[in-house]
Amino acid sequence: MIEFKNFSLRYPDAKSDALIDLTFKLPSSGLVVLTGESGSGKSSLLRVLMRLIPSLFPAELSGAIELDGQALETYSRSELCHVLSYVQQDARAQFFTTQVQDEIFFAPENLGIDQTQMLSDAYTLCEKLHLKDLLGQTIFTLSSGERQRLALAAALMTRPKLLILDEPSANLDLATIKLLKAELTRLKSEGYLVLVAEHRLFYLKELWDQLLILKEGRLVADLQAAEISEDSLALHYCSRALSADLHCPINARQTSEETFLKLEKYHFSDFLNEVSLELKSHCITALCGVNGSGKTTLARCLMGLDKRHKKSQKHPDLQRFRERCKPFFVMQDSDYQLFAPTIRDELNLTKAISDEAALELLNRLGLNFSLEDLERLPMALSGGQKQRLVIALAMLSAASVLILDEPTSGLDAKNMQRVADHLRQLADEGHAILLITHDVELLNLVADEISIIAGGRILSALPYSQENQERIKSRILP
Amino acid sequence: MPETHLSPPSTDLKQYFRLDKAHLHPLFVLYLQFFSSLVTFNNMDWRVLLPIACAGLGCLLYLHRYRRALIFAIAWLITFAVIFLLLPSIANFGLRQFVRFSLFTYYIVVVLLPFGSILIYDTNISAIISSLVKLGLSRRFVLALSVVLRFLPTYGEESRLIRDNLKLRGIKLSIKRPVESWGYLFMPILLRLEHIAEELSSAAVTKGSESTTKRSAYQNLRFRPLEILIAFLYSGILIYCRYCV
Repeated sequence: MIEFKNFSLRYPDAKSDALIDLTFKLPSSGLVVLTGESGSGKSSLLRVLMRLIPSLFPAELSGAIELDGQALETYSRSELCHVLSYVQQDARAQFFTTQVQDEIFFAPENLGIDQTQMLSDAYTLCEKLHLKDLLGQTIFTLSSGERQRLALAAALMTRPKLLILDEPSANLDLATIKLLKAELTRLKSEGYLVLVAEHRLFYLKELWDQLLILKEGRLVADLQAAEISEDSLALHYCSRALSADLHCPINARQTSEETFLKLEKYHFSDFLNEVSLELKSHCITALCGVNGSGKTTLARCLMGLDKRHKKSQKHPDLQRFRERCKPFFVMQDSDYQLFAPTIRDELNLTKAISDEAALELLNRLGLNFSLEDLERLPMALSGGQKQRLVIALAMLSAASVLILDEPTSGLDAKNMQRVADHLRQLADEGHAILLITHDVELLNLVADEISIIAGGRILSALPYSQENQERIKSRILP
Repeated sequence: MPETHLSPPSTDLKQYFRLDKAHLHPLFVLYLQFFSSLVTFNNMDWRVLLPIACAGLGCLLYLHRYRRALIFAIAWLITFAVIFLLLPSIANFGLRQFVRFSLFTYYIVVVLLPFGSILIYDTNISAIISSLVKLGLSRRFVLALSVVLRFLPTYGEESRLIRDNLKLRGIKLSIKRPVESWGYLFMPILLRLEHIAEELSSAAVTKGSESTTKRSAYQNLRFRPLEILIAFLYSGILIYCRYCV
């Protein structure tokens, strides 16, 4: 159905090609997975397919892409939208309207699809994807799983042949990923071609028909289902694990020296009931729960951010905790945490620091910057670099406690390992870390204790050890 | 072509998709806003502003936006009280003129904001696009305008997150250091705006906004006789208040 023939792409002012001499074919139906490290060219490839490159993102192209034997650039925008549909990684970012049902109908309206057909298709999709109760709501109130289903419904309204999903599992908990997998199974059985760009492969291994691996812009492997195994993957690419199993260490670490926070039966409005939480030095406490269970609300309460209930904000234990430990919150999106025009200024906003000390701190976190790099705009760094810069700010602030919200969402295996190493390093230096995460691989690498939040309640923490493995498994794996 | 999963529905689709809920034609709201702006140009008489405020509040009440209507009504009443009760007591002419200008600017924004809020929060962006394209405006211009309208609800959330983080970092905004404070607050917002604009543009393009096919609509976009009547009456009342009273 789609064929790339010696296709290359170079962005303006780039030193090298972003995509180099790609040659492969996609079938007319089935599930194809596109994977590779961050920066390997996956997003560029997807943008090219949707013709966002070169229309919105200028680039020089060479080679050919054919859709059903015809050059892609000969298709009009209208024809292309009837054939291809795209679900972006951040589902909220791709919603053009603010209401759920307006979003469902937006694309078919643009394409002039008949009203009767639109309403009929929308009805069926809403029933199949369980969207009926969401009609009439705004997109801002939806959970991650609901946004994903809405994005799927909106993409399917144009009856495309090819559905492109960019990191669909990035913000989803394991239970919702299971639902996503069920949806992909259904789409495959109905004859769609689904192209999924992903780092997390464990939920796709029973579904994939083809696996494409990109490395530094080149296609290093094009594997059919029968050829795909952990060994064949490892040959080409350091991938994420092919299973979401827990692998707890035999014994949990027992090196805590000091308790920074001991919260018992904390209550906050209707969101949190009976929350018991302990944060100890040298300890990484993982906080797990489904989307909407109260993890971020708890983090905001610990940081004193929620103004809705001042009485809860003045909780004596929390006030003492904030004054004594000066906790630092590393958000999922670092864009909101950087303010200065240069990296040097950003660091000095937290604490006065010489250039030499700044470079040493940044180098410890894998940011091998030179003196000139300190003049760079922090917001212009890559996502991973921004995150590490924010962690550097946390270390500079002399916070005893760090709270991290989904630090490995959308990261490849190498960067996930890097984050895990930094967390371990920080814990070994005496920090207490509260790690909000769905990422089982990260848990396996770093967790010392695990607290599971459900319906706004945490009853107790369990040491992350083999002794508790089955109990933990029953609570977090769907 | 994949086997479609579609099956003929037996449900009343108008009810299913709430097509019968209260709504206003986007061009009707745009007309009220545009005509109100025209009439208030260089005229800040309360006899002109009062029917505009009533129209805005009336639209909000029709759409069952009671809380928002109440907020606007209170803001309007406070400003009205300050202008007509407090202002005459200021002796200094220059100060009185400065306060009058500031308040009247605020007053007009408050009066006209109800229509704007309806367009942003209560009107389907797709309906706005269709309506403006039917008027003959360029599709690209209309798309750019709809990106702005789409961004405005997001702006509140974005600035809240940024202000939360300023607080967490211990960065205090100070009127004594306006340039620095401005930079800390607005630079991240502007950079986020660029990012969001890029995402929204990508979303719009991948959903066929550049298609040259005539747009359809899942809701019937026709002026209702009552809207036409109200538009005429409103125009007449404003002209009368502006020129004859």
